[in-house]
Amino acid sequence: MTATAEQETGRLAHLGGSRTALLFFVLLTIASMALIAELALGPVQIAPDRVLATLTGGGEPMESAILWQIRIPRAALGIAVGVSMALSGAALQGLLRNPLAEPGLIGVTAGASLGAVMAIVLGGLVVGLMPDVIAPFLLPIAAFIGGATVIAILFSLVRFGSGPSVATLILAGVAINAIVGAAIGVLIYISDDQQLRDLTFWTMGSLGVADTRLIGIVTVLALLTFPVFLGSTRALDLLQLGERAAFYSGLNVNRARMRIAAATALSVGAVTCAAGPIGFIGLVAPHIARMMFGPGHKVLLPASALIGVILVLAADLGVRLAVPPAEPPIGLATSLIGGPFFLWLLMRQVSRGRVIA
Amino acid sequence: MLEAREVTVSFGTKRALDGVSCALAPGEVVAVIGPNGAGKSTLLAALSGVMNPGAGRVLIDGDEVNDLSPEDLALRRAALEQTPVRDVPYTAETLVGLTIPTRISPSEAREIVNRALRAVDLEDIRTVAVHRLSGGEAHRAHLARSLAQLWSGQTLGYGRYLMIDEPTASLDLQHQRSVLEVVRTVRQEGTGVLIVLHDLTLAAAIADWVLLMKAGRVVIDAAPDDAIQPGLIEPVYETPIVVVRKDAQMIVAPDYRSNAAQSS
Repeated sequence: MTATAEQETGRLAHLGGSRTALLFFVLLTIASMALIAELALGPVQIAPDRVLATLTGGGEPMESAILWQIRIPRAALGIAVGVSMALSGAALQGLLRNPLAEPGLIGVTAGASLGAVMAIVLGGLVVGLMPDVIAPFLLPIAAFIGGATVIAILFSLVRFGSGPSVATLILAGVAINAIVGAAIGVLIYISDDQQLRDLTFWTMGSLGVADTRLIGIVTVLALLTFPVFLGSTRALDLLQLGERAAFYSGLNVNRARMRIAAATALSVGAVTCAAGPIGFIGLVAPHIARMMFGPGHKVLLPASALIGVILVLAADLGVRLAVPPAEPPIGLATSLIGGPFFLWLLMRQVSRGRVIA
Repeated sequence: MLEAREVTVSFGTKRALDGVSCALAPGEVVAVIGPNGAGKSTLLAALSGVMNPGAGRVLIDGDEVNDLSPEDLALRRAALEQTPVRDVPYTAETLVGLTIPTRISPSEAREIVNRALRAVDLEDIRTVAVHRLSGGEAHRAHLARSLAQLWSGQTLGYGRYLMIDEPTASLDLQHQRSVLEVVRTVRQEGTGVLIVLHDLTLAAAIADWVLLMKAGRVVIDAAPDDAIQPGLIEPVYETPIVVVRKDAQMIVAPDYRSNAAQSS
């Protein structure tokens, strides 16, 4: 290679790096603005400087109460949902080498939901038998088991050698979603009035969770999975070559697959059991990130996480400010935007002849 | 030495490898030839550690292949499958650098990537996404990736074996020749190359040693001059074959004449 060409490559790489940094800065700014808006706006407006004063210990009792008891837990859950769903989506898409793999579409969210609904409706039967330390974790544990079961079913359905086809995955998702929908229907049918009210709102997805202890638990659980995802970027890159080539390249494929699957089940389970199924974030966020930063997972994963946070907080602001003081479920908003996005992606795939492949 | 000792691999009731023994020394080229379904690719899979043999042992420099971690194995050998994934989202140069271990410094890694791209004649389209390349170009990009892995292994004191499955199948004549050059270069550097080939002319030109396989067994294990003779290979391929020697080169082709089958 000539010296000029080498310099050119170096220069391009350098430019690529600063462009990435700039875009990250932009995303971080938007995410911060969304977070401030999430804390400041609502039935009671709290000016950003008052928000800051309250966070640093000053502030009036009423503002302090609203922030610490309502808006900060809500924002924390929103961030956990955004990061978890975006990272899970990006990781599943990489693992399955399939751009349409999304926790909701392929049934992982549904599995987690079923686990959570079982815990809500049937938990009363077993909670008395459990030690007090474990009782608060019943919901997340049930959701994790539900999500993990679905992932195990999907792994056994899709052939890994050639990479599962889009059709297989989506059809498996349809079947799992239908089965889970029916099972949840049965549970709703046998639930009592109070449980029914809890469930109806919960199954549409909402960040308005009153139980701050639950929010604390799921946020910590979700946080635990983030390093696992971010530590799997090289594995996800290598998996794009196919399983055999990834092994030839030095990847312990089975271990990587188990690690990513467990992180996905835990993080989707955690946020789903608190916020309910919030769809399409795991599809939309990684796609936007891919358009901005390209396919390399080292940048793709953190970028997806930031975009996920922005999307969730924006959607939550949207539903809260649309018809105040009523508060439509956020899951409705993300599905209204994400559904058409999915259709668009699907049509693009069909036109490239990749759905049946 | 990379060696298989009495290796047996079964898929269901079918024996893909039936007590196969072979050896690959650093600095030599072994061509594996034979008809479809003979077990050539399975032999490569067993030697590369991706497939656990049902019986027998595979040793790389004295160590059991299946006892080594994938990371260690990747330093000691590079391997390229017959049909690498075409639909890779990365550019050619990113693909080539992808399998370089993180222990290699970025400047060394860049040097290795450049060398690998140069070896397969892909420097001009290094920034094109692999899924936009032609089939042959994509295959060469994957070959360059294997070379980069091999040379990374050498930088760290290993990298003595390269296994490639049918590298020339999708290539034009010029680039078939460039693969031949690549194999000669890495052999010169002391790497042992195991290469699965259908093209017997190429096998004769490239190989120090030939393994002719049929139905999961090695039927001929000899130098090219001794192995590639019509009388020996015709029964294995079950078709008439012409061997012509010209200017110190052996040219091997099926006998396509219409009356060949009867006359043989």
